[in-house]
Amino acid sequence: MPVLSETPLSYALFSMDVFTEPFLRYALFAGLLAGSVCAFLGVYVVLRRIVFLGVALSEAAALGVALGLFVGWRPEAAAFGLTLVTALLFSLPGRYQILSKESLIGWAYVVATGISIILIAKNPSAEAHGLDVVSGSLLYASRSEILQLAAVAGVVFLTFISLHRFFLFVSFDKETARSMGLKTTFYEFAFYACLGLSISLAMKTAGILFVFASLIIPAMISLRLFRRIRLILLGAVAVAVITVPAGISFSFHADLPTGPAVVCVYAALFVIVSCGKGLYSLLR
Amino acid sequence: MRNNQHSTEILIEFRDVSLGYGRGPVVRDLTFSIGKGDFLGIIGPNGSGKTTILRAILGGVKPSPGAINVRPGLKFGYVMQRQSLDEIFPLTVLDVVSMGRLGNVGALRRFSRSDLDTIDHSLSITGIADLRRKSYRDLSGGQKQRVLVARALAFEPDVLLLDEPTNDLDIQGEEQIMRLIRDIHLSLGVTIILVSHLLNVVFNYVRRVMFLKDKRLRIYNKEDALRPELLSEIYETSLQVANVDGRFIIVPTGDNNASSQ
Repeated sequence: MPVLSETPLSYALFSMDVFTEPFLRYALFAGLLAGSVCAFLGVYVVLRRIVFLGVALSEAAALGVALGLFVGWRPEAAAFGLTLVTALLFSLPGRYQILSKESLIGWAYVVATGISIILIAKNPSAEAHGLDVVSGSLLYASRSEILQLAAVAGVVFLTFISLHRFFLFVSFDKETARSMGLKTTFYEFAFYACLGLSISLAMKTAGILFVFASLIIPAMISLRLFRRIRLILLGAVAVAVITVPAGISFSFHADLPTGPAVVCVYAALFVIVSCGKGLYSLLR
Repeated sequence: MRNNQHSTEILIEFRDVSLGYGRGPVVRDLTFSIGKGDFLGIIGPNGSGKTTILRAILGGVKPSPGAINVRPGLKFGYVMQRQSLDEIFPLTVLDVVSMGRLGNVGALRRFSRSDLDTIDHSLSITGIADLRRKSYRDLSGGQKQRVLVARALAFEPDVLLLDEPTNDLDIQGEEQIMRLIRDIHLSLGVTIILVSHLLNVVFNYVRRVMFLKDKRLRIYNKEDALRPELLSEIYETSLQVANVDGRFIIVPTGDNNASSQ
């Protein structure tokens, strides 16, 4: 593969000719689907201040994949099951008086990470997959994974388009929503089910780093740019749609792992937008 | 203390109710009723269980033991403490007030003309129609409180429950919010249950007063509750009640032994 020093950065980021390669086209489709659905849900994750839960769920999904490969279950199913259970456990109302919820989420994160590393180390056939779990395996995305991601993205977008107002109300003020007769438990379950499904499938295809970055950075960028919730949701998806091809192209030209390369582009975009906003505020 | 003074239709009835969160009761032996058209103030220090009573009325806290009877079909407009809401959410005033109609529409339904009219009416009553496109988080404390009242009104409630509606407001803001609540009570006939720790705020507007003290409840008509000796005994400090141009002002006299004299 060519290296970045021989290629202008703008070309490395924005040349779409790399996607004439069939395997990169698959990576592009998988990345766009995983990135846009995570970016969309990420707006809720950031607004609900459950970012730390997002990384714990990504790690639970990784543990599911490792467990699935270890015991011979379907990794996607194991990842989804474990992610959903983790999400629901932490969505239950409770009084955290002695140990904070954050500390329990941290416990879940380190336990999931530790066990998944052990399971991968003890399963030679999973070792290659295990390395991909962290940094991503977008370049090896298969047609069936793309179809699964498309189906999940369709379900998530349709669910949220239909129930957006209700998800927003329950996220903003669950107690009042309940007092008005809304089935808040149902909406919470639907939200976490969508989150668990998306994270587990995206994680299996794109890796923890890609998923976690897609959950938080597009939402952060969009929140910096827009003030209306619909625009913020659309903006986050647009950030993912712009960044993922640029990141894949960058990784191809610079000979870098795909997931971290996309994360670098996300991060650079956030810095540019933040500086631009700061400058704009100063000049106004 | 029992209270059965209503001649009006009973909407909510507590019978020997104790309420808590699993570590013993926060309040106990509550027996009282709330009638249609009532304007009730629940007063007590922070942590005395005022909000717990509101949550129990809404069904969020179950009595143990005791029974809470709520007239079937009763609609509650809940105005929670404004400080509990996370202002990170990028919502406009219209977004927030519209939430009040979601309890009336199905998940896949758009708002009808009637829903939109109700939202407009709620914005008008609360005096925030011109703020509808403004961001909720950019508003002043008093304006935010009006938005939350408007959201509750958009639900077309029979009973409005307000939890510390004047917290963190200046004198002008307190006065404006309390006048708004009184006007809603008088013009729409909505039953009001208001929780506050501020004696002076509550006394000038409510019809009846409940005091929470030592986990128990005392309930009085406003005129009875305004006796200085009673207030001094409840608050364990000497209090005087002054009447300035028809408004009651309750002030400590500085004599902390008065209650025992």
